[in-house]
Amino acid sequence: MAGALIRKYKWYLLAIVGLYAAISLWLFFFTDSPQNVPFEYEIH
Amino acid sequence: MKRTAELLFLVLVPLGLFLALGELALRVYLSRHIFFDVEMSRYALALKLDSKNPRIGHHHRPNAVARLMGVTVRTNADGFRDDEVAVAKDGRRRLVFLGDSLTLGWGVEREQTFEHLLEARLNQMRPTEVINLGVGNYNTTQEVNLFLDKGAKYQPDQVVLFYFINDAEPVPQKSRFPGLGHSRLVTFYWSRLKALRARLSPGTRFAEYYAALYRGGAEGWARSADALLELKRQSVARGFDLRVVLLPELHDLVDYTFRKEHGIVMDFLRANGIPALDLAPQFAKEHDPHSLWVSLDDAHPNARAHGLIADYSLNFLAEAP
Repeated sequence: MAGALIRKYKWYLLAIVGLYAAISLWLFFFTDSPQNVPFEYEIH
Repeated sequence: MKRTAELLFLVLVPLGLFLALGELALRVYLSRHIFFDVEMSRYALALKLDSKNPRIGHHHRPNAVARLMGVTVRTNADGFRDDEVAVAKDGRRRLVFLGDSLTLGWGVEREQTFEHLLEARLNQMRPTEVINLGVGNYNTTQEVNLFLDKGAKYQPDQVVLFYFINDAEPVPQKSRFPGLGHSRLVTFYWSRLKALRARLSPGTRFAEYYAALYRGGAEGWARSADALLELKRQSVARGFDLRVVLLPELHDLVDYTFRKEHGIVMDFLRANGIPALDLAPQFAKEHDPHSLWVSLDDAHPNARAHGLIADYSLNFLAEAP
């Protein structure tokens, strides 16, 4: 069943993954600037 | 039923694919580049342990080694980034340095830290050993309590607390954000969404955030002041010389961002008879602050800045009796 669904929706799946990747790249480049937030203390 | 399964498939499969491919791509990218938050999350997992003392919160794993920010961080049996130290003194003058990630030497090799440089230079004047109790993400309360728990037994002749503007933050709480630290992609999104928020909304940048820790009797600075007074009491009771060095925040050194806050700290130290040195004015001729950062997204001092800190604080530490 999964194989059939993948074949049926392959362009949809690729488009969604591409959209996620595009959002990630935009976030990466848009925020790739000198540090402007406090040193983060939540990671502990 | 079939329709629901198909909908779930259409939501979960692209998400799973993205998470797997994104994680893989990011790990390949990070094998050649450094993200501050990813490194900080790796630091937490590799070197931090919960402390039984709530005033300490966390401490370093003893006898551990990790490669962070492209440099090796190795801890001794006490969890300090230092050589093994015998409790009994051997005739050399003994100094203990307290501080946070700047004192730890985040992002620089141990031989390039101001602790190591100062130990070498003080040794040229008289036999001296320096024990580095710097731990990342510490505030003043944690620094003083780590000294009481693990540092006091070394019976130092001098204790130097290296104060940084964010030392007035509360004791950090363990993050419960799922995947943080374990997944590079999750940590990347968490970090960059935070940066995006800071970029888009006023009041969330570092300057406003740090200044608020000192404004109008804020609890943050009040707690730091209490911890400094406790250390002063300890210095009298145990007979060691106590000094405080204020390290500069490295965003704008010419028109220093935290002049007022440093003034509050210096006034307090003077009023309580604690010798103190503010290094921010010494850095005022540094017109290119980024040349002092360990990386673009991390304003911790790099090797050059550590060298300047050592240069500017040497006489202040050497003049002690």
